[in-house]
Amino acid sequence: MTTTWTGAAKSLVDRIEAFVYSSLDGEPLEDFDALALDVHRWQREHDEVLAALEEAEPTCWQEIPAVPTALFQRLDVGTVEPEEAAVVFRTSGTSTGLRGVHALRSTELYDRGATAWFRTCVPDAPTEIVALLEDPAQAPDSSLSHMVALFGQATWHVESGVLARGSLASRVRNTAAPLFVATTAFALADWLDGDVPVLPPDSILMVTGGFKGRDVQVQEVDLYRQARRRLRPDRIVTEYGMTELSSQLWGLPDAPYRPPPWLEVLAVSPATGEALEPGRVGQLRFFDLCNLDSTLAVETLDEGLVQSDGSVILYGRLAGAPARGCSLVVEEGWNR
Amino acid sequence: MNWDLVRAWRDRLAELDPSFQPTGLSPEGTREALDAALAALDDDSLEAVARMGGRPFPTAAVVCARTVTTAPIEWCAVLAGRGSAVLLKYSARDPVLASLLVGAARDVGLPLVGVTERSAVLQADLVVAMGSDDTVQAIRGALPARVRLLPHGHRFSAAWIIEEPLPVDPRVPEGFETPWGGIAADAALHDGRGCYSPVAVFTPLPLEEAADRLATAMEAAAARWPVGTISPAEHAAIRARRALARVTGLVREGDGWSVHGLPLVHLDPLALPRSVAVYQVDDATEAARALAPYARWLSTIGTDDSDSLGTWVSLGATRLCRPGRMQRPPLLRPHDGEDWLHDTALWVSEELI
Repeated sequence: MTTTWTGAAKSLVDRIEAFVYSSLDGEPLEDFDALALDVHRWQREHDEVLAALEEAEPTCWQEIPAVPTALFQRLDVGTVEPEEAAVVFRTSGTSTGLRGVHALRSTELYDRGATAWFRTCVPDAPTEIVALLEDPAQAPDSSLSHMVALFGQATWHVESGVLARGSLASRVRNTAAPLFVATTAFALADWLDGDVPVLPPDSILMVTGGFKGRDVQVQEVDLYRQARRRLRPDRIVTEYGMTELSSQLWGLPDAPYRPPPWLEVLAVSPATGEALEPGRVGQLRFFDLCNLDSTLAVETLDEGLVQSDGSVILYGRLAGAPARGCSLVVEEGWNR
Repeated sequence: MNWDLVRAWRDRLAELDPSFQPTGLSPEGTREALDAALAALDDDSLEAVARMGGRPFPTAAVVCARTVTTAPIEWCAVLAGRGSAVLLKYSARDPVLASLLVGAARDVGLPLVGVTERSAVLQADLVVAMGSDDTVQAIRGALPARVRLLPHGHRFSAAWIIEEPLPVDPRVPEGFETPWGGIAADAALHDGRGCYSPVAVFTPLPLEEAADRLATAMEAAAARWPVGTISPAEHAAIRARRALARVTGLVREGDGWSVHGLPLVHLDPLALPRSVAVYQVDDATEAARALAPYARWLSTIGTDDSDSLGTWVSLGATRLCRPGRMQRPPLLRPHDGEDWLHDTALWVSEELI
């Protein structure tokens, strides 16, 4: 039972939880559209940022204004007053030096949605977890560490941003039981840069994060090939999540990401923000019912394609990052 | 010395139609960018460089830029004029104006050739490259120790406008002589990309008033020089800043251009094509204080306030000019505060007599 939310918010939480579980059974109790619009209307009343962004009353979920991720770095996006925040997740801020903020009254919705979709997509995941991530006790603002901690008993092998190779190797070598190894693409690449142990049989490798740039798929194909050859996991699963969202997408290296039924994805024209038809490459927006405390719709800087079944192919960052002076373009001229 | 050939090259380029070169700019924008670059190579300026003397580097390479497609022109002119054999390193995927520049050089016999392979650059005696610290380091690491590198890192420019009348300047485009007109012309050239483009305008005027005046000028600039290609990430960044301005300030926009009025706390010196951020401040000192964290990367301040020049020099600006001339620098100037005309020649102290 949820006790953090009251009044209209509590009613929405109940509807969202009912949607999460009923949709997993294949029979959602109500339309995504109706629930999304109700969530948006409530959020608009409690979030000045969202209210200012709305140019016309939305009539369907696709018309709900999506907050660009850049605004999470500069404004208090969401419905949570500072004194109400039980948990605050923050982005790394590596691109701009500013950290995006996702404040939550409670992680209950987050936890239920994340766990439910993970169990659906990776039903046989081992519960012994080796995480190439920071310990959530040391990094309580890491949404990724928080999510992985939901999936089982974990040991953590990144300290102050540095991979703890010794403890990692020892943990893997001293375990016979299958492991769920959770890692970012960067940490995995770092790990594979040195000696690595073979994982116990039936282990699963989860890779998330990707490379912040173009040609993501080319780099990741090489990474997965190396990981398969040297770590020998039973299989690799891929995860796509963002600090600004409460729900995640899961996939396989050679298959698109699957969003949960409570998360819709839309590709839009970067030029106009207008929705594109399924199958066309565009800028990705996410509409996440579990993002009740924050904002339902988030606009990313990622480029991808939403297929007619709702699954998503991710291509990486949008092409042609804005120039800061003359620098970027000459780098391209030099590197090609 | 090839100064006659440089003049012939300049005149030949002025005759050619650059409209269909893959610059990413509109045909009108490409023509204007080329004309602005060639205007800097006036006879008096070339003559002044020739009089400076110095011995040429036998070979020099200029790594070509995509955003400011005409940036290599002044470097090539000075190097080739002094007698260096010049290599223009460009990307095969982004040749921009390279074929035009090299073709015109071939027409008049100027020793300027285009290359796409890095290995050719490694053979040069002097390499001119602009890039981030990491890129410059990468280039430096790839070059043999004997090669002289002239690196020019990331820079941005800003403007301070108080609406003082400005003297007539024939190099400011006709119809854009006012301070706001000049800013719009500067933001239109190269579609607002590059080191000398005003990414932020500070003004003591009321924000709405300033945004309205700049918007009128931006509209006129867009009509005269239609915007070229904008990348998906640039589009997304413009729309993100638009959202920020809707929440915290104001938005003026038209076909291919935008003005975002923002509070000073959201200052970000990001070059967005045909999109200018305006900040209302009390005085130049407040603007300089806001820019101080970025001062290391500051290039040019465009201003109509001659009383503020000391403020900008103290901040670290390496170039001060009137609006309308920000993206039209003269040949005879320091480049990012460095004497590039000196550094592109070899100097020998002859003390035998």
